[in-house]
Amino acid sequence: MASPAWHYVLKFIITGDAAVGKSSLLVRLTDQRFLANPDPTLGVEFGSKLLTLPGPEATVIKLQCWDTAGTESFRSITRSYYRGAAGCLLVYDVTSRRSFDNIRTWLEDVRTHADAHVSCILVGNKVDLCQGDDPKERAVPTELAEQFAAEEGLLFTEASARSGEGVEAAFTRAAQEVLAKVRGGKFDDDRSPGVKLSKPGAALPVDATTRNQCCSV
Amino acid sequence: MASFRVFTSAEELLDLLVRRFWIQPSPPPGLAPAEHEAWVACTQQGVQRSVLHAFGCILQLDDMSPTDSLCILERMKDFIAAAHVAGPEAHHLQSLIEHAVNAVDLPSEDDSEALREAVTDKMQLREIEPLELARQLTIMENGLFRRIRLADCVQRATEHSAENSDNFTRFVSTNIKIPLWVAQSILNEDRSQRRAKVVKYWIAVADRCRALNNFSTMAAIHAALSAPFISRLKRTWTHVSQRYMGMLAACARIMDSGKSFRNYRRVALAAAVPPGVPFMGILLSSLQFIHDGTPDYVCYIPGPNGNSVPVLGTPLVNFNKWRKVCEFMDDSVKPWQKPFNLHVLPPVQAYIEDALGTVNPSQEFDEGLWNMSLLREPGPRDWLETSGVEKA
Repeated sequence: MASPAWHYVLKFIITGDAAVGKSSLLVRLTDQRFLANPDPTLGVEFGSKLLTLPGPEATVIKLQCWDTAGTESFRSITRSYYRGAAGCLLVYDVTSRRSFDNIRTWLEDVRTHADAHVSCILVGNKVDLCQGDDPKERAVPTELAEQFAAEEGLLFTEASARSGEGVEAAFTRAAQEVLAKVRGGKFDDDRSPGVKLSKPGAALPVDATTRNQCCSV
Repeated sequence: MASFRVFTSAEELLDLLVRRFWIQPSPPPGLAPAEHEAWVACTQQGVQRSVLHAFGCILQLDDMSPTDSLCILERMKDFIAAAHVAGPEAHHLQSLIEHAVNAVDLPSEDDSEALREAVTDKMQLREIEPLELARQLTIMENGLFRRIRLADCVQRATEHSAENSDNFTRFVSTNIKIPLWVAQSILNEDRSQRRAKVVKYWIAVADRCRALNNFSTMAAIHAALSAPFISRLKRTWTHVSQRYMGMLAACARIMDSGKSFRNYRRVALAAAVPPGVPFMGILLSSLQFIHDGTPDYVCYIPGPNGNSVPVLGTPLVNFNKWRKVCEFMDDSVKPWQKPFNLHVLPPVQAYIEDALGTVNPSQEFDEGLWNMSLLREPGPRDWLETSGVEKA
């Protein structure tokens, strides 16, 4: 087994209505590209990304993101993955009021099925559609979403998977909150499958990439 | 053998095997002519036998697409003819090829267009007996499920694959339309009693699917009935009797996601005897775990002191991963690929196809269902009005 290249593995889930851009956000985070017209996610897909969080000592975390289907058929699959999550991105489309209104049902799902300490960030995606020469009408004002997030105790940001704006920041902020909880002792390593600590004392290779850990066979 | 597609194509593999077949071994020096002949016979024939064996394996893989398989089969046939191969292996191979050629089902165009127009205009959903609709949906889903090949699993599990047109996708893109159709048929009725009748009808269909081991359609119908745009219709649900609520609860228990779908995996699926159609979401998740958890290539191997050392040169194909994929195919997919002994009713099949053609999984369609739901039973327009956030 190669030395782990991270301090923590954090399991994140991305949920929200169909077609709000969940997969696109994930692909933007992991591959730095924009996924135009993706097929609906079927079941569940994963992506991982190493993020270095600034701080007194730089912390390398491996974000393992579970991108779940928004279509009705696979909603039950989505639910079964909540339990293992340390963080959750609740995504809506800023041009679709319905997708924002439905955040409440998604949040209920998360609260029912996930760990009580899961860190949630509300992400208003597709802000690029409301900018530029031919802007589309915004259906969800920033202030409204901000207030809702504050009332529900969620982090909040707006983002665009197309331009990349705010995407990494969304994941980083949620990860920082999770880490703060971990350090505060809220996540018990044995109990919460969403957070994994790398082996104590394991060296952190300088040129670490995810490829390096692939050799446990 | 099954994992050759990971690193090569069927054509290239065939080329390599043919080249291997014609291998000219260089014998050790100093052999007498008789010894030399014996040596050649041993080595060359050994190689040739293993090549023929490899052909046999490819033929029995049963995972080729109709187009590339016909071309490969032709080439194999030509090769055997040209190589003057004799003996039991060759006969065996020839019969395998014949069998495979006959089994190739080229996509045929359906010519029941006229029939379809004739029947679908007149037929009403609830005129079809729930059991019959369940059967026909089962035939449809079973047919799509049986097309899934090992190559599809390999493709899904491969890192960075463009996985958009495999047989899984074909299955799922039909399956995700079922909940939309169910919801639409309910919301099309303007009176709550009539909507309740359609709800009860679908519960009956889901119940019959359950009895047929068609967990896929059952899950899709259950998903529709528990989706917010249907579950919020309080007036409709008051007209649904306890008997039907009980049937629905039985489906809900099976699809309960708790303990990683324990009820489904350990109880329902374990007790079911094929044929049947499994719930695709769980199968795709399992493949995704293989995809994410195991790399395609190994770049480190265990070293002498228990540490790991980098592989020099080209990374090694991670056969452990492909073994896992084969196990997945053998344990979770193949057992369910038996055909049902059910009779196809073309008018009902045409009706289903027609109905699924009217729905379209998209955000707009979703919004449409929502608006219909709010129109049928207006409640608080949405939660924001009652929560007071709106005033901000």
